[in-house]
Amino acid sequence: MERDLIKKAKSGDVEAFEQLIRKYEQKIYNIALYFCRNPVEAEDISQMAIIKMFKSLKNFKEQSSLSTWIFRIVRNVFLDECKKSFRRHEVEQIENFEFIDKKSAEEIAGRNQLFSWINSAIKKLPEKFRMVVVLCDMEGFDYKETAEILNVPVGTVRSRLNRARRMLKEILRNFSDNFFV
Amino acid sequence: MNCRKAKKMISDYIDGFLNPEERVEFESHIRTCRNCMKELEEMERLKEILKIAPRPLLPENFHTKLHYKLLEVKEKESKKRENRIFDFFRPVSVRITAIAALTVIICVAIFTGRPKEVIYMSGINHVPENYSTISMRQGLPLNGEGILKLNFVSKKKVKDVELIIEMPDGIKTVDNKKTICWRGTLRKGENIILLKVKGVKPGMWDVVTSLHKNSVKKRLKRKIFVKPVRI
Repeated sequence: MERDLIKKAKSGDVEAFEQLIRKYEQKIYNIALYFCRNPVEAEDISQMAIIKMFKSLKNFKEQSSLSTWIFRIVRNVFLDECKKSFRRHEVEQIENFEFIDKKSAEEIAGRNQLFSWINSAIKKLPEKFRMVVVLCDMEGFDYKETAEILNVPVGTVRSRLNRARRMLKEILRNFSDNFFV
Repeated sequence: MNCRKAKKMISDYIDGFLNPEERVEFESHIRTCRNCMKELEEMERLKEILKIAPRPLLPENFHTKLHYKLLEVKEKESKKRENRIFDFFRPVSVRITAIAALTVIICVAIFTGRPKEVIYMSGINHVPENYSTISMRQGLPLNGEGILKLNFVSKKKVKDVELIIEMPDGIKTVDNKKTICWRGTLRKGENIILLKVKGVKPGMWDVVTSLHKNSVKKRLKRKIFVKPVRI
């Protein structure tokens, strides 16, 4: 199924490409949002990355997984583009979070506070640590995939993730002493 | 094992990356050290929260925008390929003739075919009695409503046309839409689109309409002035 779509997309079939990319779009946008910290730019950059994929799909040799190939492109586009935007939008907030599940108002308020702290804490992490947390802990990539996407050794991913989690814990503890209670 | 070493191993432990010896050593330390046990529990909780944290939703129209960008890229790429082939042996005179022929076709398309097709959108479903549309000269008053009329002349009947109207910041449809999509058939001759809009910010604004058919795209801008209300 994926092979057929890749073949069609390589020959310029837009619909096939869209079908192929659909399951990755949400992840691409999430990652973009955590790196740019600005929803408008995150949308632009996500689309830039997807268009770059469409243009360069013919060079995809199918030696690595499609997912790794996609997120390597995403990473390169983000690094180029987000660096420019970091300077412009240091204080922008991620505001368009919506909760889909229906819980009591109190529960939602509590959860919103919790996730709002999490978002703020992640944004405070330096870029290289933020990347591993978002890729591994939020988007579910394993160490090997993350290493391939970031183009660093697996050992580096492990040490960065360890450091990033500890930093996150410290930041969260500053938000609330009861965070982990 | 001391606490410093144990704390460095917590992350690898919860991800299952310690080798059996390290694991045994780590677990025996944890059993006797309340501090490190607390650290471990906190790290596990953090990992769990990160996993379930709600993700931002894709912006509205993400797919539509992407779709047209991809079509544009495809068109550009195929034009590039065509140019590479044709430029090699196409003389200038042939190009001039082609441009002239195309101009004639466009003129014929504009001045022929008269039946009118009215497409109603946002907030309007018939031609009102006192039917008058927003004019360039009069514009639209701030917070006032008016009927926006867009005309398309088609040389022939065209099926499966996609039409996207994007409202600028200063104008909204009466049902508060920023983007209106329509898919259908354009009749031969004049096609009129009517939609009810309101002025929300003063200034000169562009309503952008794009027509899409396969990979062909036509983009039109209509300027509308939203007049500030005099006090």
